[in-house]
Amino acid sequence: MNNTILNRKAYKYALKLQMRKQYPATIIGAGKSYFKKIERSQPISPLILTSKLREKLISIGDLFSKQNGNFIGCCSEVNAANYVLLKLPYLNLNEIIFSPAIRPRTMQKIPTCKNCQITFS
Amino acid sequence: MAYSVIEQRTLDLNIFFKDDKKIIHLASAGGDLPINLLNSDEYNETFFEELIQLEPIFEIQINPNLIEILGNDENQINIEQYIYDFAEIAKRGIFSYDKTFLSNPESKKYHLVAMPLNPDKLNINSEKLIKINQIVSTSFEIQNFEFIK
Repeated sequence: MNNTILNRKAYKYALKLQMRKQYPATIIGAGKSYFKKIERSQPISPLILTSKLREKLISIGDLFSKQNGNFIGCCSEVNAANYVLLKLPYLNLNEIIFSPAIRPRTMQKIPTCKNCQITFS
Repeated sequence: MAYSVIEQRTLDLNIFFKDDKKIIHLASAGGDLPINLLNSDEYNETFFEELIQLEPIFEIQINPNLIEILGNDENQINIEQYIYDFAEIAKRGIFSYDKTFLSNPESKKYHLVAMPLNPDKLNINSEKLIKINQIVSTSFEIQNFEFIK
C-alpha cells in the first residue's frame, strides 16, 4: 500500500478537526491494501472488537485497565486497526500499516504507546 | 460529574479556571488533569462557546521558547499550526497553556503558549470558573501545575 496516501488522509482528517475545534487526544490512519480507516482515541466498543484484537489486548491486561501508563483499548491505533480487521479478518496484527498518530489541536506527531507497540509489532 | 479517567486520556480538553489576576486555559492533550480541575466539566464547554463568540481583539505575545520547550526539530513541528488554537484563545483575553510532555499522561507540567498583552479589557462572565489560591506564573518556562490540588 502506498503509505503516503494513508498519511495524507490522516493529516487531512486532523486538519478538519482542528478547523472544527473538535479535539480527541489523537487520530491515526490504519490500513492494508485498498482499505484505509482514520479513527480517533476513544474507548473501543466491546460489541465491535474483533476476537483477534481482543485476545491480544487482554494478554496485556483487562480492557480499559491501566497498563504501562496507558488504558487498554482506548488508543486511536486500536480503534482504527479494529475497523481494518473487521474488513480484512485474515490479517495479522503486525501486518496493519499505520500513519503517524496526530494530535489535531496542534498537528504534532505523537509517539506510539508501549501497549500499542506490544499489540501491533 | 467530574471528567472520567477515560475522558481525560482520550480527549484533548479545554479547561478554564482563574486566579486573582487572570483567566487561564489549559489544553489537556490526553493527560491527567490537576485534581482541583476535575469538576470543571460543568462549565468548560459553555464557557468555551461563549468565548469563541467574542471578537479576537486582544494583542498577544507568543512564547519565544516554544522550539526549545517542545524539544523537537522544526521538521516535526509546524509552529504556526501548533500555536493556532492557543493564539485564538489568547486573542480573546485568556492566558493559554499547553501540556508539555505528551508521552507522559501523568505529568502536570505545562507551558504558556500565548498570552494577551492587555487582559484587563476582557469582558466575560467568569463567575462559575474554579478559582485557585495561587497566582499562575506567566513566565515562558515549563511550569509544574502540581500545586493545583
